[in-house]
Amino acid sequence: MIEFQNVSKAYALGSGKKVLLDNVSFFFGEGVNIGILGVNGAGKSTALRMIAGSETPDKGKILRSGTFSWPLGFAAGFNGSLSGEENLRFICRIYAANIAKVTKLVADFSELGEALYEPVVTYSTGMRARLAFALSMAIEFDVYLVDEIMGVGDRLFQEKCKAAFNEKSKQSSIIMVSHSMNTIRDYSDVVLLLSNGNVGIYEDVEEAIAKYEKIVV
Amino acid sequence: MKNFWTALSVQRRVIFALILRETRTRYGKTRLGHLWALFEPLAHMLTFAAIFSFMGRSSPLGGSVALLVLTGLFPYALFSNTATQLMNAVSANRVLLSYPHVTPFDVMAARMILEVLTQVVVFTFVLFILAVQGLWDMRIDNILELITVVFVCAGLGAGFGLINAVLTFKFPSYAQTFGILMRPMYFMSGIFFVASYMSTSIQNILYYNPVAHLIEWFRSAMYEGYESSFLDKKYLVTFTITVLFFGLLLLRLVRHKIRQQ
Repeated sequence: MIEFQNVSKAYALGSGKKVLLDNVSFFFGEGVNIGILGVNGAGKSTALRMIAGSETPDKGKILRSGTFSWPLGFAAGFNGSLSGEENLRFICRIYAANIAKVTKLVADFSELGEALYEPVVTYSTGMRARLAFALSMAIEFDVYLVDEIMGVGDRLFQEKCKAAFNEKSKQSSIIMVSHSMNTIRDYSDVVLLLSNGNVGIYEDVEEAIAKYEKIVV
Repeated sequence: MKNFWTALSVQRRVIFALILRETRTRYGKTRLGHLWALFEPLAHMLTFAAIFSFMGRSSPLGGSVALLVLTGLFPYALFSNTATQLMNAVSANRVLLSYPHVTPFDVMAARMILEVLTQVVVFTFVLFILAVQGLWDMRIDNILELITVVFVCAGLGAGFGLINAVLTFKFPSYAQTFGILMRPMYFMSGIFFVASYMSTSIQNILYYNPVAHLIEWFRSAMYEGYESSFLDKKYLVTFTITVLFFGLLLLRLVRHKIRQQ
Protein backbone atom coordinates (compact mmCIF):
# COMPACT_ATOMS: atom_id res chain seq x y z
CA MET A 1 0.00 0.00 0.00
CA ILE A 2 1.24 3.46 -0.83
CA GLU A 3 -0.45 6.75 -0.09
CA PHE A 4 0.58 10.34 -0.82
CA GLN A 5 -1.24 12.95 1.23
CA ASN A 6 -0.90 16.50 -0.14
CA VAL A 7 2.71 15.95 -1.05
CA SER A 8 4.78 18.83 -2.40
CA LYS A 9 8.39 18.71 -3.48
CA ALA A 10 10.63 21.29 -5.10
CA TYR A 11 14.32 21.55 -5.87
CA ALA A 12 16.45 24.65 -5.60
CA LEU A 13 17.72 25.22 -9.10
CA GLY A 14 20.24 27.99 -9.62
CA SER A 15 18.31 31.18 -9.06
CA GLY A 16 14.83 29.73 -8.89
CA LYS A 17 12.95 26.72 -7.73
CA LYS A 18 11.75 23.78 -9.75
CA VAL A 19 8.46 22.38 -8.53
CA LEU A 20 8.29 18.63 -9.09
CA LEU A 21 5.16 17.78 -7.16
CA ASP A 22 2.56 20.32 -6.17
CA ASN A 23 0.07 19.16 -3.57
CA VAL A 24 -0.26 15.61 -4.91
CA SER A 25 -2.48 12.98 -3.32
CA PHE A 26 -3.14 9.39 -4.31
CA PHE A 27 -3.73 5.98 -2.80
CA PHE A 28 -2.99 2.52 -4.20
CA GLY A 29 -3.71 -0.67 -2.34
CA GLU A 30 -1.72 -3.88 -2.31
CA GLY A 31 -0.80 -5.60 -5.56
CA VAL A 32 -1.24 -2.62 -7.88
CA ASN A 33 1.57 -2.26 -10.42
CA ILE A 34 2.31 1.36 -11.15
CA GLY A 35 4.16 2.84 -14.10
CA ILE A 36 5.53 6.36 -13.84
CA LEU A 37 5.82 8.45 -17.00
CA GLY A 38 7.12 11.93 -17.57
CA VAL A 39 9.62 13.91 -19.62
CA ASN A 40 13.21 14.19 -18.44
CA GLY A 41 13.41 16.31 -15.32
CA ALA A 42 9.72 15.94 -14.50
CA GLY A 43 10.67 14.28 -11.22
CA LYS A 44 10.07 10.59 -11.92
CA SER A 45 13.17 9.38 -10.11
CA THR A 46 12.56 11.76 -7.23
CA ALA A 47 9.01 10.45 -6.93
CA LEU A 48 10.36 6.91 -6.85
CA ARG A 49 12.91 7.80 -4.18
CA MET A 50 10.15 9.40 -2.16
CA ILE A 51 8.06 6.25 -2.45
CA ALA A 52 11.10 4.29 -1.25
CA GLY A 53 11.65 6.68 1.63
CA SER A 54 15.15 7.78 0.55
CA GLU A 55 13.81 11.30 0.19
CA THR A 56 11.25 13.16 2.20
CA PRO A 57 8.58 15.52 0.89
CA ASP A 58 8.83 19.26 1.58
CA LYS A 59 5.19 19.21 2.61
CA GLY A 60 2.61 16.48 3.13
CA LYS A 61 2.84 12.89 4.21
CA ILE A 62 3.71 9.57 2.61
CA LEU A 63 2.28 6.39 4.12
CA ARG A 64 3.28 2.90 3.12
CA SER A 65 2.74 -0.62 4.37
CA GLY A 66 4.66 -3.73 3.38
CA THR A 67 8.34 -3.96 2.52
CA PHE A 68 9.72 -1.76 -0.26
CA SER A 69 12.93 -2.34 -2.17
CA TRP A 70 15.48 0.40 -2.64
CA PRO A 71 15.08 2.19 -6.00
CA LEU A 72 16.72 -0.22 -8.36
CA GLY A 73 18.76 1.51 -10.97
CA PHE A 74 22.13 1.61 -12.64
CA ALA A 75 23.54 3.89 -9.97
CA ALA A 76 23.29 1.16 -7.35
CA GLY A 77 24.93 1.86 -4.03
CA PHE A 78 28.02 -0.25 -4.38
CA ASN A 79 31.36 0.49 -2.80
CA GLY A 80 33.96 0.14 -5.55
CA SER A 81 36.81 -1.02 -3.34
CA LEU A 82 34.77 -3.89 -1.91
CA SER A 83 33.95 -7.01 -3.88
CA GLY A 84 30.50 -7.76 -5.23
CA GLU A 85 30.09 -10.37 -2.54
CA GLU A 86 31.04 -7.94 0.25
CA ASN A 87 28.57 -5.40 -1.07
CA LEU A 88 25.99 -8.15 -1.13
CA ARG A 89 26.65 -8.98 2.50
CA PHE A 90 26.06 -5.38 3.50
CA ILE A 91 22.72 -5.20 1.71
CA CYS A 92 21.63 -8.55 3.16
CA ARG A 93 22.46 -7.28 6.63
CA ILE A 94 20.46 -4.10 6.34
CA TYR A 95 17.46 -5.99 4.94
CA ALA A 96 17.85 -8.94 7.34
CA ALA A 97 18.16 -11.39 4.43
CA ASN A 98 19.95 -14.73 4.62
CA ILE A 99 23.48 -14.11 3.28
CA ALA A 100 24.22 -17.69 2.15
CA LYS A 101 20.91 -18.02 0.33
CA VAL A 102 21.20 -14.64 -1.39
CA THR A 103 24.83 -15.28 -2.40
CA LYS A 104 23.82 -18.51 -4.10
CA LEU A 105 20.88 -16.91 -5.91
CA VAL A 106 23.00 -13.96 -7.04
CA ALA A 107 25.87 -16.18 -8.21
CA ASP A 108 23.44 -18.25 -10.28
CA PHE A 109 21.52 -15.37 -11.71
CA SER A 110 24.19 -12.76 -12.37
CA GLU A 111 26.59 -15.15 -14.17
CA LEU A 112 29.46 -13.14 -12.72
CA GLY A 113 31.41 -16.25 -11.76
CA GLU A 114 34.69 -15.51 -10.02
CA ALA A 115 34.22 -11.78 -10.64
CA LEU A 116 31.74 -11.77 -7.77
CA TYR A 117 34.75 -11.89 -5.47
CA GLU A 118 36.62 -9.09 -7.25
CA PRO A 119 36.32 -5.39 -6.34
CA VAL A 120 33.34 -3.71 -7.96
CA VAL A 121 35.60 -1.02 -9.54
CA THR A 122 36.84 -3.68 -11.95
CA TYR A 123 33.30 -4.34 -13.21
CA SER A 124 31.91 -3.08 -16.49
CA THR A 125 28.62 -1.14 -16.44
CA GLY A 126 26.85 -4.27 -17.62
CA MET A 127 28.35 -6.38 -14.83
CA ARG A 128 27.36 -3.83 -12.20
CA ALA A 129 23.82 -3.75 -13.50
CA ARG A 130 23.67 -7.54 -13.52
CA LEU A 131 24.80 -7.64 -9.92
CA ALA A 132 22.28 -4.97 -8.93
CA PHE A 133 19.45 -6.71 -10.70
CA ALA A 134 20.31 -10.19 -9.38
CA LEU A 135 20.66 -8.84 -5.86
CA SER A 136 17.31 -7.13 -5.85
CA MET A 137 15.61 -10.21 -7.22
CA ALA A 138 17.25 -12.38 -4.57
CA ILE A 139 15.81 -10.40 -1.67
CA GLU A 140 12.07 -10.70 -1.08
CA PHE A 141 10.08 -7.48 -1.11
CA ASP A 142 6.36 -6.76 -1.29
CA VAL A 143 7.01 -3.90 -3.68
CA TYR A 144 9.89 -3.60 -6.14
CA LEU A 145 10.88 -0.09 -7.17
CA VAL A 146 12.54 -0.02 -10.55
CA ASP A 147 14.23 2.94 -12.16
CA GLU A 148 14.97 2.21 -15.82
CA ILE A 149 16.83 -0.97 -15.17
CA MET A 150 15.13 -3.18 -17.75
CA GLY A 151 17.29 -3.80 -20.76
CA VAL A 152 20.46 -4.66 -18.91
CA GLY A 153 23.16 -6.60 -20.71
CA ASP A 154 22.71 -8.73 -23.84
CA ARG A 155 19.53 -10.17 -25.26
CA LEU A 156 19.85 -13.43 -23.39
CA PHE A 157 20.23 -11.74 -20.05
CA GLN A 158 17.30 -9.46 -20.84
CA GLU A 159 15.12 -12.51 -21.43
CA LYS A 160 16.25 -13.86 -18.08
CA CYS A 161 15.43 -10.59 -16.34
CA LYS A 162 12.02 -10.55 -17.90
CA ALA A 163 11.33 -14.10 -16.76
CA ALA A 164 12.49 -13.33 -13.22
CA PHE A 165 10.40 -10.20 -13.21
CA ASN A 166 7.30 -12.00 -14.39
CA GLU A 167 7.82 -14.56 -11.66
CA LYS A 168 8.15 -11.80 -9.05
CA SER A 169 5.08 -9.95 -10.21
CA LYS A 170 2.96 -12.95 -9.19
CA GLN A 171 3.47 -12.28 -5.47
CA SER A 172 4.90 -8.79 -5.42
CA SER A 173 3.95 -5.56 -7.05
CA ILE A 174 6.14 -3.28 -9.11
CA ILE A 175 6.44 0.46 -9.28
CA MET A 176 8.57 1.50 -12.22
CA VAL A 177 9.97 4.45 -14.08
CA SER A 178 10.62 3.76 -17.73
CA HIS A 179 10.99 5.45 -21.07
CA SER A 180 10.03 2.28 -22.85
CA MET A 181 6.32 2.24 -23.60
CA ASN A 182 6.40 -1.51 -24.09
CA THR A 183 7.78 -2.06 -20.60
CA ILE A 184 5.11 0.21 -19.16
CA ARG A 185 2.44 -1.69 -21.11
CA ASP A 186 3.76 -5.05 -19.91
CA TYR A 187 3.92 -4.30 -16.23
CA SER A 188 1.59 -1.47 -15.26
CA ASP A 189 -2.01 -1.60 -14.09
CA VAL A 190 -2.04 2.14 -13.48
CA VAL A 191 0.04 4.97 -14.87
CA LEU A 192 1.09 8.15 -13.13
CA LEU A 193 1.90 10.88 -15.62
CA LEU A 194 4.07 13.64 -14.18
CA SER A 195 4.09 17.06 -15.78
CA ASN A 196 4.69 20.51 -14.33
CA GLY A 197 4.14 19.48 -10.74
CA ASN A 198 0.86 17.73 -11.42
CA VAL A 199 0.21 14.02 -11.44
CA GLY A 200 -2.36 12.50 -13.75
CA ILE A 201 -3.64 9.09 -12.72
CA TYR A 202 -4.70 6.79 -15.57
CA GLU A 203 -6.36 3.42 -15.07
CA ASP A 204 -6.20 3.01 -18.83
CA VAL A 205 -2.54 2.55 -19.71
CA GLU A 206 -3.05 3.26 -23.43
CA GLU A 207 -4.71 6.55 -22.66
CA ALA A 208 -1.72 7.56 -20.49
CA ILE A 209 0.72 6.61 -23.22
CA ALA A 210 -1.20 8.61 -25.82
CA LYS A 211 -1.23 11.62 -23.51
CA TYR A 212 2.49 11.23 -22.77
CA GLU A 213 3.37 11.03 -26.45
CA LYS A 214 1.45 14.25 -27.01
CA ILE A 215 3.58 16.02 -24.37
CA VAL A 216 6.83 14.67 -25.73
CA VAL A 217 6.29 15.87 -29.31
CA MET B 1 4.71 1.67 19.60
CA LYS B 2 5.24 -1.34 17.33
CA ASN B 3 6.57 0.98 14.62
CA PHE B 4 9.04 2.42 17.05
CA TRP B 5 10.51 -1.00 17.90
CA THR B 6 10.65 -2.02 14.24
CA ALA B 7 12.47 1.21 13.41
CA LEU B 8 14.87 0.62 16.27
CA SER B 9 15.68 -2.92 15.15
CA VAL B 10 16.24 -1.71 11.57
CA GLN B 11 18.58 0.97 12.87
CA ARG B 12 20.49 -1.51 14.99
CA ARG B 13 20.91 -3.78 11.96
CA VAL B 14 22.04 -0.90 9.74
CA ILE B 15 24.60 0.39 12.24
CA PHE B 16 26.01 -3.10 12.75
CA ALA B 17 26.28 -3.65 8.97
CA LEU B 18 27.96 -0.26 8.59
CA ILE B 19 30.53 -1.05 11.29
CA LEU B 20 31.49 -4.31 9.58
CA ARG B 21 31.68 -2.58 6.22
CA GLU B 22 33.69 0.32 7.60
CA THR B 23 36.18 -2.08 9.19
CA ARG B 24 36.68 -3.67 5.81
CA THR B 25 37.14 -0.44 3.89
CA ARG B 26 39.35 1.19 6.50
CA TYR B 27 41.74 -1.57 7.44
CA GLY B 28 41.52 -3.49 4.22
CA LYS B 29 41.30 -7.22 3.87
CA THR B 30 44.78 -8.05 5.09
CA ARG B 31 45.85 -8.65 8.65
CA LEU B 32 48.58 -6.12 8.00
CA GLY B 33 45.93 -3.42 7.81
CA HIS B 34 44.69 -4.22 11.30
CA LEU B 35 48.25 -4.39 12.53
CA TRP B 36 48.94 -0.94 11.13
CA ALA B 37 46.10 0.45 13.22
CA LEU B 38 47.96 -0.78 16.31
CA PHE B 39 51.41 0.15 15.10
CA GLU B 40 50.72 3.79 14.29
CA PRO B 41 49.87 5.04 17.80
CA LEU B 42 52.53 2.80 19.28
CA ALA B 43 55.20 4.38 17.07
CA HIS B 44 53.78 7.81 17.87
CA MET B 45 54.07 7.26 21.59
CA LEU B 46 57.41 5.51 21.56
CA THR B 47 58.91 8.40 19.58
CA PHE B 48 57.87 10.89 22.23
CA ALA B 49 58.88 8.65 25.07
CA ALA B 50 62.31 8.31 23.44
CA ILE B 51 62.69 12.08 22.90
CA PHE B 52 61.64 12.80 26.47
CA SER B 53 63.94 10.29 28.09
CA PHE B 54 66.74 11.58 25.84
CA MET B 55 66.08 15.07 27.17
CA GLY B 56 66.29 13.60 30.64
CA ARG B 57 62.72 14.56 31.51
CA SER B 58 60.80 12.53 33.98
CA SER B 59 57.06 12.24 34.55
CA PRO B 60 55.77 14.76 37.12
CA LEU B 61 53.16 12.18 38.12
CA GLY B 62 55.71 9.50 38.85
CA GLY B 63 56.03 6.36 36.78
CA SER B 64 57.35 6.31 33.25
CA VAL B 65 57.31 9.08 30.65
CA ALA B 66 55.76 6.58 28.25
CA LEU B 67 52.76 6.17 30.55
CA LEU B 68 52.38 9.96 30.82
CA VAL B 69 52.37 10.33 27.04
CA LEU B 70 49.99 7.41 26.58
CA THR B 71 47.47 8.74 29.10
CA GLY B 72 47.55 12.06 27.25
CA LEU B 73 47.51 10.73 23.71
CA PHE B 74 44.65 8.28 24.18
CA PRO B 75 41.93 10.76 25.25
CA TYR B 76 43.22 13.27 22.70
CA ALA B 77 43.22 10.76 19.84
CA LEU B 78 39.80 9.42 20.76
CA PHE B 79 38.37 12.93 20.77
CA SER B 80 40.04 14.24 17.63
CA ASN B 81 39.66 11.08 15.54
CA THR B 82 35.96 10.84 16.37
CA ALA B 83 35.48 14.49 15.38
CA THR B 84 37.31 13.98 12.07
CA GLN B 85 35.73 10.61 11.28
CA LEU B 86 32.23 11.97 11.78
CA MET B 87 33.02 15.04 9.73
CA ASN B 88 33.80 12.85 6.71
CA ALA B 89 31.25 10.12 7.41
CA VAL B 90 28.58 11.37 5.03
CA SER B 91 30.83 12.16 2.07
CA ALA B 92 32.55 8.79 2.40
CA ASN B 93 29.27 6.90 2.50
CA ARG B 94 27.22 8.93 0.04
CA VAL B 95 26.30 5.95 -2.15
CA LEU B 96 24.81 4.18 0.83
CA LEU B 97 22.30 6.93 1.49
CA SER B 98 20.38 5.74 -1.58
CA TYR B 99 19.20 2.86 0.60
CA PRO B 100 16.17 4.20 2.44
CA HIS B 101 17.18 2.40 5.65
CA VAL B 102 20.53 4.15 5.90
CA THR B 103 20.45 7.63 7.42
CA PRO B 104 23.24 10.21 7.90
CA PHE B 105 22.90 9.62 11.63
CA ASP B 106 23.54 5.89 11.18
CA VAL B 107 26.79 6.34 9.26
CA MET B 108 28.04 8.70 11.96
CA ALA B 109 26.97 6.44 14.82
CA ALA B 110 28.74 3.50 13.16
CA ARG B 111 31.94 5.49 12.78
CA MET B 112 31.83 6.64 16.39
CA ILE B 113 31.40 3.11 17.72
CA LEU B 114 34.19 1.80 15.51
CA GLU B 115 36.48 4.63 16.61
CA VAL B 116 35.87 3.94 20.30
CA LEU B 117 36.47 0.21 19.82
CA THR B 118 39.64 0.79 17.81
CA GLN B 119 41.11 3.30 20.25
CA VAL B 120 40.28 1.17 23.30
CA VAL B 121 41.91 -1.89 21.72
CA VAL B 122 44.98 0.16 20.79
CA PHE B 123 45.20 1.65 24.28
CA THR B 124 44.94 -1.75 25.93
CA PHE B 125 47.54 -3.15 23.57
CA VAL B 126 50.03 -0.34 24.22
CA LEU B 127 49.37 -0.56 27.96
CA PHE B 128 50.17 -4.26 27.79
CA ILE B 129 53.46 -3.51 26.04
CA LEU B 130 54.33 -0.96 28.72
CA ALA B 131 53.59 -3.53 31.43
CA VAL B 132 55.86 -6.06 29.73
CA GLN B 133 58.60 -3.44 29.52
CA GLY B 134 58.15 -2.56 33.17
CA LEU B 135 56.98 0.96 32.27
CA TRP B 136 53.59 0.52 33.91
CA ASP B 137 53.01 -0.98 37.37
CA MET B 138 49.69 -2.55 36.23
CA ARG B 139 47.62 -0.45 38.59
CA ILE B 140 44.60 1.60 37.70
CA ASP B 141 43.22 3.96 40.32
CA ASN B 142 39.55 3.79 39.32
CA ILE B 143 38.54 1.69 36.34
CA LEU B 144 34.87 2.77 36.37
CA GLU B 145 35.90 6.38 36.19
CA LEU B 146 38.34 5.54 33.40
CA ILE B 147 35.49 4.02 31.38
CA THR B 148 33.35 7.07 32.08
CA VAL B 149 36.05 9.33 30.64
CA VAL B 150 36.18 7.17 27.50
CA PHE B 151 32.49 7.89 26.97
CA VAL B 152 32.93 11.59 27.62
CA CYS B 153 35.81 11.68 25.09
CA ALA B 154 33.63 9.96 22.49
CA GLY B 155 30.71 12.25 23.31
CA LEU B 156 32.74 15.42 22.96
CA GLY B 157 34.31 14.11 19.73
CA ALA B 158 30.88 13.16 18.40
CA GLY B 159 29.46 16.59 19.25
CA PHE B 160 32.22 18.36 17.34
CA GLY B 161 31.99 15.71 14.61
CA LEU B 162 28.27 16.37 14.10
CA ILE B 163 28.82 20.12 13.91
CA ASN B 164 31.79 19.55 11.58
CA ALA B 165 29.71 17.30 9.33
CA VAL B 166 26.99 19.93 8.94
CA LEU B 167 29.52 22.75 8.40
CA THR B 168 31.38 20.66 5.80
CA PHE B 169 28.09 20.00 4.05
CA LYS B 170 27.33 23.73 3.91
CA PHE B 171 30.89 24.94 3.31
CA PRO B 172 33.06 22.18 1.78
CA SER B 173 36.34 24.01 2.49
CA TYR B 174 35.64 23.84 6.23
CA ALA B 175 37.15 20.33 6.41
CA GLN B 176 40.67 21.75 5.97
CA THR B 177 39.94 24.59 8.37
CA PHE B 178 39.12 22.16 11.14
CA GLY B 179 42.41 20.35 10.57
CA ILE B 180 44.29 23.64 10.93
CA LEU B 181 42.32 24.64 14.03
CA MET B 182 43.08 21.30 15.65
CA ARG B 183 46.83 21.52 15.16
CA PRO B 184 47.60 23.85 18.10
CA MET B 185 45.24 21.76 20.24
CA TYR B 186 47.77 18.99 20.06
CA PHE B 187 50.20 21.10 22.05
CA MET B 188 47.67 22.93 24.21
CA SER B 189 45.81 20.01 25.74
CA GLY B 190 48.39 18.68 28.14
CA ILE B 191 49.54 15.57 26.32
CA PHE B 192 53.19 16.41 27.01
CA PHE B 193 52.74 18.24 30.29
CA VAL B 194 50.40 18.14 33.28
CA ALA B 195 47.92 21.00 33.30
CA SER B 196 47.57 21.19 37.07
CA TYR B 197 51.35 21.73 37.46
CA MET B 198 51.36 24.78 35.19
CA SER B 199 51.44 28.34 36.47
CA THR B 200 48.11 29.98 37.31
CA SER B 201 48.24 32.32 34.32
CA ILE B 202 48.70 29.39 31.93
CA GLN B 203 46.01 27.37 33.73
CA ASN B 204 43.59 30.27 33.30
CA ILE B 205 43.97 30.02 29.52
CA LEU B 206 44.02 26.21 29.43
CA TYR B 207 40.83 26.13 31.46
CA TYR B 208 38.67 26.90 28.40
CA ASN B 209 40.06 23.94 26.48
CA PRO B 210 37.76 20.98 27.19
CA VAL B 211 40.35 18.51 25.91
CA ALA B 212 42.76 19.58 28.67
CA HIS B 213 40.04 18.60 31.17
CA LEU B 214 39.53 15.27 29.40
CA ILE B 215 43.20 14.41 29.75
CA GLU B 216 43.36 15.56 33.38
CA TRP B 217 40.31 13.49 34.24
CA PHE B 218 41.72 10.47 32.48
CA ARG B 219 45.00 10.77 34.38
CA SER B 220 43.22 11.25 37.71
CA ALA B 221 41.40 7.98 37.08
CA MET B 222 44.57 6.22 35.97
CA TYR B 223 47.19 7.35 38.50
CA GLU B 224 46.82 6.33 42.12
CA GLY B 225 47.08 9.23 44.48
CA TYR B 226 46.74 11.89 41.78
CA GLU B 227 43.76 14.22 42.08
CA SER B 228 43.91 17.07 39.58
CA SER B 229 43.37 20.55 41.02
CA PHE B 230 42.83 21.83 37.49
CA LEU B 231 40.01 19.47 36.51
CA ASP B 232 36.46 20.86 36.39
CA LYS B 233 34.16 17.93 35.64
CA LYS B 234 31.05 20.07 35.70
CA TYR B 235 32.45 22.40 33.05
CA LEU B 236 33.53 19.49 30.85
CA VAL B 237 30.27 17.58 31.08
CA THR B 238 28.17 20.72 30.49
CA PHE B 239 30.37 21.59 27.51
CA THR B 240 30.03 18.06 26.08
CA ILE B 241 26.26 17.92 26.44
CA THR B 242 25.86 21.38 24.89
CA VAL B 243 28.03 20.51 21.88
CA LEU B 244 26.24 17.18 21.39
CA PHE B 245 22.88 18.85 21.60
CA PHE B 246 23.84 21.50 19.03
CA GLY B 247 25.35 18.89 16.76
CA LEU B 248 22.20 16.76 16.78
CA LEU B 249 20.04 19.84 16.29
CA LEU B 250 22.08 20.99 13.27
CA LEU B 251 21.96 17.51 11.75
CA ARG B 252 18.21 17.43 12.20
CA LEU B 253 17.88 20.71 10.32
CA VAL B 254 19.83 19.55 7.27
CA ARG B 255 19.36 15.77 7.21
CA HIS B 256 16.84 15.82 4.35
CA LYS B 257 19.04 18.14 2.32
CA ILE B 258 22.04 15.85 2.88
CA ARG B 259 20.14 12.97 1.31
CA GLN B 260 19.08 14.89 -1.78
CA GLN B 261 22.54 15.50 -3.11
